[in-house]
Amino acid sequence: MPNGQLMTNEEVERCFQELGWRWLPGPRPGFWVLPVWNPEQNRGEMIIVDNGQGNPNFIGARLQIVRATRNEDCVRKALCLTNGTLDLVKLYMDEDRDVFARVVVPRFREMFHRQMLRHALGAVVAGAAFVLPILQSCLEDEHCDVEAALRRRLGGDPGVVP
Amino acid sequence: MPMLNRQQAGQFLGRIGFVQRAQNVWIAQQMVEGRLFIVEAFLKEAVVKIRIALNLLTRCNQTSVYRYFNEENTRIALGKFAIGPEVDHEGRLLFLSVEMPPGTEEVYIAEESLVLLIGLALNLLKEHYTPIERLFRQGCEAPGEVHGERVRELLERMRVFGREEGGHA
Repeated sequence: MPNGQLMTNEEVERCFQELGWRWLPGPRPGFWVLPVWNPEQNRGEMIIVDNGQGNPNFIGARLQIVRATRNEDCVRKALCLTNGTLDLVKLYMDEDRDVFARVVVPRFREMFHRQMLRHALGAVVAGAAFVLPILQSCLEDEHCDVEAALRRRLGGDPGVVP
Repeated sequence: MPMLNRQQAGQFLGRIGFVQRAQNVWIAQQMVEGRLFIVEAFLKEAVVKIRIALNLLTRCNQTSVYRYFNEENTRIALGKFAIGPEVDHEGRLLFLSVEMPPGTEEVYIAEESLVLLIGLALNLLKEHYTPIERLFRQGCEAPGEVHGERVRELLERMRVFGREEGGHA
């Protein structure tokens, strides 16, 4: 990574302002909570943005989608397939079985543009909304055909995939 | 280092050995671990993506591969392992991609970011290709194997729980 200067928390907040976003302070300095509207699910989401707290080289944006309380292998397969379908966003399940959508943006000033944050948040929300019905299928049926669920989703069916 | 516009980003890829294949798509070849891989670079409106097909075509359930992919996707900040779309109903290629959102058309990406994305993709390939190939070559799961895995997972959790209980005693 380059030795350039890193974005400060104040600069990140200025970007939020310039982008016209509202935000709430996070649990510690360097974390923020950004409420966004998910039109597909018709509900609000809370995206956690961190300034180098997950990795010092990046500003991270992540959204918790669901907790995989069962059928973890089915969920992992769904995430692998969806990661191969969607651009930019990365979907993963952590050791607590929480499933996240995540995008990172370079934190170095000379590599950063505030528009990157807009793309990042858009991809996180869209990725989470896309994969949720597929994950619901996994959670409801351990014999769920994940590939069929993905095909249905790509066909534009927003509902829960049987 | 100044930011490049999208056209300049494409020209930069040309200077470091990529060939333009379509609008916003460039390709190059790279030898890693004695094997030849195609490296694709996409300069799209909302994503800059370096993608490398692992040349492994999966045709069945391969849970150990999914687990490995998920573990690494959780661990690494930038980059993801994934299963690609179906190839002629024959199966699905395994992919590695490293992506970053760009700025605007005129202030698109830094040269340094492009170098970072390509370098990181090749490093991830070097580090992970052999273990992924090893898991992949184990082949498809036999029926009931997933169930067996789940039983092993449950037993492991019970053991951990038992240890924790013992610790409090």
